[in-house]
Amino acid sequence: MRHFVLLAACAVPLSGCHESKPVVEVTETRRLTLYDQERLGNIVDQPPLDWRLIPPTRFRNINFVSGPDDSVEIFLGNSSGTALENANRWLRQFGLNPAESDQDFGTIEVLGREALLVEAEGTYNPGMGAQGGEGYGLVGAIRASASQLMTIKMVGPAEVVAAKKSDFIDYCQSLKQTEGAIIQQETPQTPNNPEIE
Amino acid sequence: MNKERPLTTISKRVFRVLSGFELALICLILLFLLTFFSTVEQQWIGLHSTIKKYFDLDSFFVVPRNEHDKIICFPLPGAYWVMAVLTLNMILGGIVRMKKGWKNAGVLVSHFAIVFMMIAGGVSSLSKVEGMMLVTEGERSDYAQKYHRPSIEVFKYNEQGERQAPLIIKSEDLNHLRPTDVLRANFANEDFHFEITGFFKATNLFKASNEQKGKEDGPVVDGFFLREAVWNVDNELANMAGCYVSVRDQENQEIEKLILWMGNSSPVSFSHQGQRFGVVLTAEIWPMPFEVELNESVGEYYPGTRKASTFQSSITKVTSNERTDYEIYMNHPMRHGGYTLFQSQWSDAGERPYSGFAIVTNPSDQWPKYSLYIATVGLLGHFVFMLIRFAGGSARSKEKPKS
Repeated sequence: MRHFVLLAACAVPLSGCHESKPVVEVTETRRLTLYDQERLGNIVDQPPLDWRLIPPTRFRNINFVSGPDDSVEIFLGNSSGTALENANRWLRQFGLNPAESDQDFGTIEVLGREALLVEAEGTYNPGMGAQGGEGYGLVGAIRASASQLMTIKMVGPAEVVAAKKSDFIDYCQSLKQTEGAIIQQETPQTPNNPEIE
Repeated sequence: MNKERPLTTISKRVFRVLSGFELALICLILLFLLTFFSTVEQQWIGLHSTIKKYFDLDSFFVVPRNEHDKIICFPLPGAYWVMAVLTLNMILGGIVRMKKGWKNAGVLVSHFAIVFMMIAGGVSSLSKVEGMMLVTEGERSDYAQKYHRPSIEVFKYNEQGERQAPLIIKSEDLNHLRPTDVLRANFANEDFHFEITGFFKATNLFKASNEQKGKEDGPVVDGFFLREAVWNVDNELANMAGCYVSVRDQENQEIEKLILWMGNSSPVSFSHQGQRFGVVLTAEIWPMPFEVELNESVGEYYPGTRKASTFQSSITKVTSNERTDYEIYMNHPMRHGGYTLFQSQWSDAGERPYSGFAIVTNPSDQWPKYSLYIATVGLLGHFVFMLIRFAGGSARSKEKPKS
């Protein structure tokens, strides 16, 4: 009985001990599966090397940062309304007058369809508490189809955005649709997520 | 000769203790206490955590606690080891020590069957692997995920933007981490390493622009931060692990700081020496040797709830050389080379219904069934033998002339 009590007494402090390894050598791998082919929105993309993927949000299915101090944001999402309405909303974020028709914008081809190419420069005021400021630039593409409106937007310091414009257009034109499951993306727990891009 | 005598006596005593009814009784009382306290504690820490705490191989002693983390019972030995001792006790007392002969043959066979069942449980505990495959109707899958095993996968993208085979930091290395721990992960053939910090088993990911960061929260990285969440007892699969990763070069200079969250199914990325890498924190991916095409997924909910009451699926199993159709429903799983696939989830909440298939590999999967057959044969044999003896005894007593 005395031995049992001693053993039990030793067990109390030991039961709380969990030794965590300070260093692991990672060598394990696995074969590729359909998991590795899954893409948000079924989009296969080839971003430039200096674009860095960060977690997606409710309105940003694919979310990049780039440039000095990650000052440029590039993101792809879906929206509602017409292409012109969305283009004008973007222009208003820069305090610019809205356009009257789609013809006022240039176009590029995105996923086999013509998309509006929207450009703006000036004081950026995205609203809803998001950060903006003076000397910002925007390059964006809006692709309308029967079922949805795809938006791709790059915003940041004007000179950096200008320098990355060709990368942006190359990226938009490189997008491919893939077969397979659309991932039901978990939205980050942002109870008051107000962002509208 | 004299020296051997005490040794023999000691070994006899040890044998008597190990094969005795007293030990069996102690084991059964301990198992009762373990079952009782694990059932009580389950409501506070959840089913999976309870099983891990009370019944795991590496759980030598457990201290039952209440919801306020206060100790509610003296330390108890882990259930796995109590059952191991009980198995030994059964072998020694119920088989080795038992009198052999036709009279006891049935009971002996039954004892053997019980030992066999205990061993099946031990083998299952050591070698069973289970995961979940989610498939939407009309789609296919060739992998399952082990939901209680978070892992970090690091992979290269090729020039076409496709993922290459990943290197995997296993859950064994992550699950014991506390938020204050730092884990360094070195990768074979790569000249960078990870420093993993702030590992939370249950977290929420917040956007810093939308949520005020508190003192206890993790740092803001890429505009996001992690906040430890209360462990969801009712739905343990909803507990999302999260952590921070500092990617460092050989000189230990930081290349990039990343934030990982299990609820984010898409990777985050960094570039190093002209190569783009993706990093994702995900429930461990378990490749299957077959593909499952979900042709039809049907089910029903309990009235007034979104809890599925019945469900079944029509699937096609696709291997390299054949396609086979199966109907999966209650107690009717699909088996393939040691893998058992049965449906455990169903929902029609999305655009199309989906089925969740639990996939298990367990070498002792069928052993409990066999042990029940053996026990049945043993007990039946024993009863028949006793019946014959009884009938024979009665007949003989009738034949005896009354004096």
